[in-house]
Amino acid sequence: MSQLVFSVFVIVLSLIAAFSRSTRLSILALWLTGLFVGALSLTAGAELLAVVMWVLSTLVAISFVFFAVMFGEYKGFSDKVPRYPPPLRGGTLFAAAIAVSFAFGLIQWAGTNSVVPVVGGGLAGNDLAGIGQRLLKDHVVSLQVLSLTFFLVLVGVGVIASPRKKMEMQDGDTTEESAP
Amino acid sequence: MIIVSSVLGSLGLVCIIARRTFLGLMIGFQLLSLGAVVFFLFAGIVSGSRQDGQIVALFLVLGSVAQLVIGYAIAIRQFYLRNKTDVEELRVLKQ
Repeated sequence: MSQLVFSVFVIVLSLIAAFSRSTRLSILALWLTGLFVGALSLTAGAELLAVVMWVLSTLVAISFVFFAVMFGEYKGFSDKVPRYPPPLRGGTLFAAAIAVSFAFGLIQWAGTNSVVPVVGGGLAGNDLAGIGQRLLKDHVVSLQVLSLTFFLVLVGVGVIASPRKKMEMQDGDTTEESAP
Repeated sequence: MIIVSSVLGSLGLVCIIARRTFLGLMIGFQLLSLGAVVFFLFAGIVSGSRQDGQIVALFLVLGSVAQLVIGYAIAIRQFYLRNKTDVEELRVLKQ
C-alpha cells in the first residue's frame, strides 16, 4: 500500500516537474520526486540508496536554484504583477514545507519493518557491510572507472567554465583569447 | 514499479526534447536517471540479486551527478558568451 502511495506521488510530481512553466515549481517537484524515489527504495530494503537519494536530490535542488537565479530563470508563473496580497504570496513555500513534512512522515512510517514488510526476499547481506564487501569484491573495476570519471569531470569543468579574456575586433564583434 | 520507472523515463525524455533552456534539459536528464534507478533497483529484487541492483542504482545516481556538473559548466560557458541559456544557441560554442 505504501509503495502504491509513493508511486502515485512520484508520477504526479514528475509530471509537474516536466511540464510546469514555472522554474520554481519544477525544481521543487524534482526535489520531491527524488525524496519519494528514496522512499520507494526504503520500502524495497535499500536503505543506503534511500539516504544517498535524499542527500543528492536535496543538493541537486539547491544547485538548480543557485544556477536558475544566476541565469535569471528563477521565476514563478508571473513576476510582473503579484496575483495575491503579500501575506498569501508565501503560500508556495508554506505548501512546500507541508508537503516535505508529510513526505518525511510517510517515509518514516513506511520505513519501519513492523508496519510494512519489505518487498521481496533475500535480505541476507543487504546491510552496509555486505554491500561494501560486494563492491570491493565484484565491482572494483566499476568503482575505479567512476572515480576516474569524477576526476575527468573535475578537470573538464575547470577548463570549460574558466573565464577567458574578450578581445574587441575592428568590426565590433568580440572574440575570446584563452587565458595563459 | 516497472510502470513507475517507465513513466519517469518517458517524462524525462519528453522534458529533454520539449524544453528550451539548459536547466529544463537537465531536469529532464535527472528524471530519466531517476527512472533508471527505480528500474535497476526493482530488477535486482525480482531477479534475486538485490545487492547488484542496489549497486548499479548507486552508480547511476553518482553518474547522473557528474553529468549534471558538466551540464552546468556548458551552461556557464554559453551564458558567458551570450547572456542566455537557450538550447538552440549552443552553436555559439563552435566559435
